[in-house]
Amino acid sequence: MNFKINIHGLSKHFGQNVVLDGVDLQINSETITAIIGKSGTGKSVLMKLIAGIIKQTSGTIECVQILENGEIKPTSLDEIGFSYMFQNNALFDSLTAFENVALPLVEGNHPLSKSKVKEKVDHLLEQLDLTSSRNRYPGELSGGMNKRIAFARALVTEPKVVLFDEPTTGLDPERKFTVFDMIKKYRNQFGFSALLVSHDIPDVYEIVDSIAWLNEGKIQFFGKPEKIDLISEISIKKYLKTGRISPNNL
Amino acid sequence: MNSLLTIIANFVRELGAILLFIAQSLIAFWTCKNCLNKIIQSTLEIGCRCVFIVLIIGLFTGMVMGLQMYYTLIKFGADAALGTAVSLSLIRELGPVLTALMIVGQSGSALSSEIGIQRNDEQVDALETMGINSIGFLSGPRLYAGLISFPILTAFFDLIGLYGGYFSGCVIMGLDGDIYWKKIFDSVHFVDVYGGFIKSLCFGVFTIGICTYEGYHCHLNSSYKGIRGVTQAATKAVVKSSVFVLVFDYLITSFLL
Repeated sequence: MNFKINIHGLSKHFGQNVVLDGVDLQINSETITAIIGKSGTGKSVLMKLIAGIIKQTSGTIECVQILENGEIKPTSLDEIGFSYMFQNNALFDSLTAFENVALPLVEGNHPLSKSKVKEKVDHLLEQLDLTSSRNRYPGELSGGMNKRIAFARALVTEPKVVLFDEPTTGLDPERKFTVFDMIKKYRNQFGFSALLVSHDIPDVYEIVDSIAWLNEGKIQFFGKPEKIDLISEISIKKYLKTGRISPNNL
Repeated sequence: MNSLLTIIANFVRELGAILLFIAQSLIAFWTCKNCLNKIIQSTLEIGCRCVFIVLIIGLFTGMVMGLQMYYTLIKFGADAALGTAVSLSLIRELGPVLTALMIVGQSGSALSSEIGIQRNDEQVDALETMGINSIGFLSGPRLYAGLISFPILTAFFDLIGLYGGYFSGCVIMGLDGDIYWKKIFDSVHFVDVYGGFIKSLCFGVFTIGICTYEGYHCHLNSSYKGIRGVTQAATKAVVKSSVFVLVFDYLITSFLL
């Protein structure tokens, strides 16, 4: 399915506090876009606006499906099929790892038999090296393990758009690359689009098609990862300098 | 004058929001899967959490009433009417009211905190992104559980309260037990039991509704965020539910009598 998500002039105010001030962004099918920017610049707010969890003050988010004959049909993110991986995982404490991953299949609009759900969830847990934690509760597991359970839950419905809010925070380098590899692998396998908030610069460049730099409520750069280093804008240079540790920066 | 109008307007708005939330919960619940299992699980949760405390309070309320009524009635030579006085007071008023207050204290605050924590941890948002109606999923089964468990626990309270009255009036004070039970059977009519049943149903749906509403909306509290917001929501839930029980008890009583 080919689609486009067009974000135009998106603003969000919390009282007097202007978090987003006219964000323009386009997300195409089967692309991975990373949103980077300093903490507190509204990256998570942008993700929540796209997911429809909160309402924008102004601006539009339009989803269109591009049919085979080139015709454009308005649609919604729900119709396209999306999932969201939250920054703090948002796992249910009273459910085991297996039940947490199976929740969207069991309670959502996915008519699957019990055995199919079990098979699918167990396969995903195995791929993420979580089989031994299958029957344990989030409170009994490490932060990294919970991150992977949240990751598995986001992918279990095979969505067309996945919103990852800092999917690798708190993971060791090996696990971090496992998550990045899985995002890439699943994109190739299921053909989803991913929008991910990340501070892992430049590691995240390896898997993304484009980078969006959010600063002062606006997208100030959008393009290929290799082009971001060519920008002369001081604020980006300053951020990227502090965002990576290389011998020159030390 | 303006501030009084603002208070009234806020009260009406809040009441409307709670009623709407309850209606949404009751309807949206049926869009969820495994509805019956969820209701049974929530009923057991509320029932198991409260049954012991309801029995204890019921027993001692009956015993206190047995003693107080005995000493009052004997002054008029009417101690034989002890069964009537204890049973009607318990079945019509004290049973539904005290049971509701006990459940609010025991389960209502826990419900409110639980949903509040889920709201803080973005679990409520996660449900919505999974295509699950969060109001129906979180509040719906608890409301139906309230409708089932409140009348049952009220019946337990009434029954054990009658035995409490028997114990203090007949075993301790020496009143004839046969007279005590005969008076109960003669004076308690269907309308008395029906009134208590209606009250417990109303208390069940509204108190659980208030508690889940407060937990679900704890993030909207502008003055307290995070854990303080959750504790504030639990406190508000208990206070509002308790006030509701007493005010509504008066209204239903005046309507039924």
